[in-house]
Amino acid sequence: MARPQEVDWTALRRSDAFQDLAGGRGRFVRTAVIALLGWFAVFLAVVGAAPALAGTVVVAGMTVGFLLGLSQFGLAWFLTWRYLRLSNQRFSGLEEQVRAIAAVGSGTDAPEVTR
Amino acid sequence: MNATRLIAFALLVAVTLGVTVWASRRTRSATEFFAAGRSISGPQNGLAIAGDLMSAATFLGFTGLMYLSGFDGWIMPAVTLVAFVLILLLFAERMRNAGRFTVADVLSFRLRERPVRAATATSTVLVAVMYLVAQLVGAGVLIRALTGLSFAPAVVLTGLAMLAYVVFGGMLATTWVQIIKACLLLVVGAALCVGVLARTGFDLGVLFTTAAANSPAGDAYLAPGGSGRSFLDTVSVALAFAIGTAALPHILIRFFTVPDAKQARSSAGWATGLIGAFFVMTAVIGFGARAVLPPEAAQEVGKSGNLAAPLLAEFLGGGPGTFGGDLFVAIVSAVAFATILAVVAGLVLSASGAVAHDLWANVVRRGRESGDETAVARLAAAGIGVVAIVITLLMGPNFNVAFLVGLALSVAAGANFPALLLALTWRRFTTTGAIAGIVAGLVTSVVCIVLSPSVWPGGAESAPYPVEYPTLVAIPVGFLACWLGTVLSTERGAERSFDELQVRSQTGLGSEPTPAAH
Repeated sequence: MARPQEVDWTALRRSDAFQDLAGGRGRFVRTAVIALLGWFAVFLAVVGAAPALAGTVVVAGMTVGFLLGLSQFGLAWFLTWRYLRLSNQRFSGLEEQVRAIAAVGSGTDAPEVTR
Repeated sequence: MNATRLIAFALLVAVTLGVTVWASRRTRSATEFFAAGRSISGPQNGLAIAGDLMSAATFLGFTGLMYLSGFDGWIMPAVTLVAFVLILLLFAERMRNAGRFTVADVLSFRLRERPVRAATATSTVLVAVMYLVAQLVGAGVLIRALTGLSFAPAVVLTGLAMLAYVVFGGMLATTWVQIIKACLLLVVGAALCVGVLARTGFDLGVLFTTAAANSPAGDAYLAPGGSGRSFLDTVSVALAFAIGTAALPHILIRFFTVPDAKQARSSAGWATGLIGAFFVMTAVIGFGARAVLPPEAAQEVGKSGNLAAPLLAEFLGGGPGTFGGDLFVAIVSAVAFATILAVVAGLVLSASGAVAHDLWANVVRRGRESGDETAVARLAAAGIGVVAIVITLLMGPNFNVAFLVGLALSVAAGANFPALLLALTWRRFTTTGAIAGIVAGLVTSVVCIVLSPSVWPGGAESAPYPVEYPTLVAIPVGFLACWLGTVLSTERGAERSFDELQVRSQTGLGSEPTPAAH
């Protein structure tokens, strides 16, 4: 399929709406990935460097290590919930705006992804 | 032979083949074959993705490891959810927006198409076949243990059912088999949990304390060290599950089956929730089996621990020889069998997409219109399936499959993950960088696994790479090679601009919509 050249991708990327979208999403993703991998590293570090601490029972027979593992789920669920909320409240609207600019700018719909 | 179990297995196969017949009537075009016509909803896809991860290895394997080595068995489930958050944040929406059927679609978006596609497709097929052989060997051993059917017929039967789903029913059948199995597994897992908790007075303290008291290790059962793994072993395994899982092609292609990026996002969200819940259940089942089962059971559970969950079911149902016990084992065994069937089908589909869509349609035919992409895909699926079955039969039931899973995850983590991430986010990234990264990640993984204790012919003690999984080396090497290949190459002017990829992948502009219902 031939690709019409009307869509000016660079101009779209520089549009305020896209800059807002990419900036906001990028900031969240960077923070979340650092938190996620950081907590993952803490878990492994405690297991590897302080097995005695990891084996200490905290409450109801659950050890520090077990609870740290469980907290990985807590963090994962929290980040997932935050991202879905941000997406629905902010990013979806911005995506819509960029698509609208593209439709006005080129007079036609952007060509489909063909591969 | 055990009649109740065979009947349960047969029932399951009948239901899934029924789904396949239904799906085959709705599977003609390439979009229908590879992407279920983009008709799967977010929650449905979330269940299917969760199903891909809830394999026999995680259900029987993880519970068994917790039964055997206590805390150390808990490390793998605890870190695996990291992969699904990475998928949500980095890949899910962008894959759906910028690609059509395969991971290579997205990787080659703005790079030189043919070499990148060829490299990505090769690593996809390798990952799929290694994983497939590991699953099939596991299936044969498991079915033998559960029904008394011998290894070869068990493998062939599993393989034939798997081929039927994929070749005739495409992604639609593969997805629905996966969804059915995921629901069954979650229900059975929850039932086992309730059974265990009822026996321990719904008190986690009693559960863990009894488990530790029943284990030969005593209090050390709840502390690190039960598996005898070194710290580096643990980190290498954790990296494989946290990073490698995020780049497994058979999981990533599921994001092409939903109508749009919003549903892709929601499916990753559902997957994170469901998989987390499932892993919490495996902990209750694994530690619970130690707390509840009588000490004599340790012998039967076996060295791999795979039979901890079925034995627990038998015990909760009333014990060996009773009707309830027999029925419960039959149900758990059938669900484990369903798990294997659904997972191997997804693997075959991902490999057939790489062969038909990447290698055949876009590398050999250079994207010229040809109506036979679906036919090639069916043929490729059959071929890959048969090859995997033959390899499995040649290797036999005693083949150590643990290293194959490690290798598959390491290739995904070292070859696929860096290249895919950088292709989506790094403006300067070049074709040379991508190829260098994929080849280096792949070669490093293979070399390290050969030099590792589980394969090294000179014996485990003298292995030159004394760590279980290659990820410790393969992931840094993959990223480094991507970077080196990029800065050393002089190429300019990619086929499509990074700006186009950014705008398309982040906004869904021009992404293929759901075809109208017909």
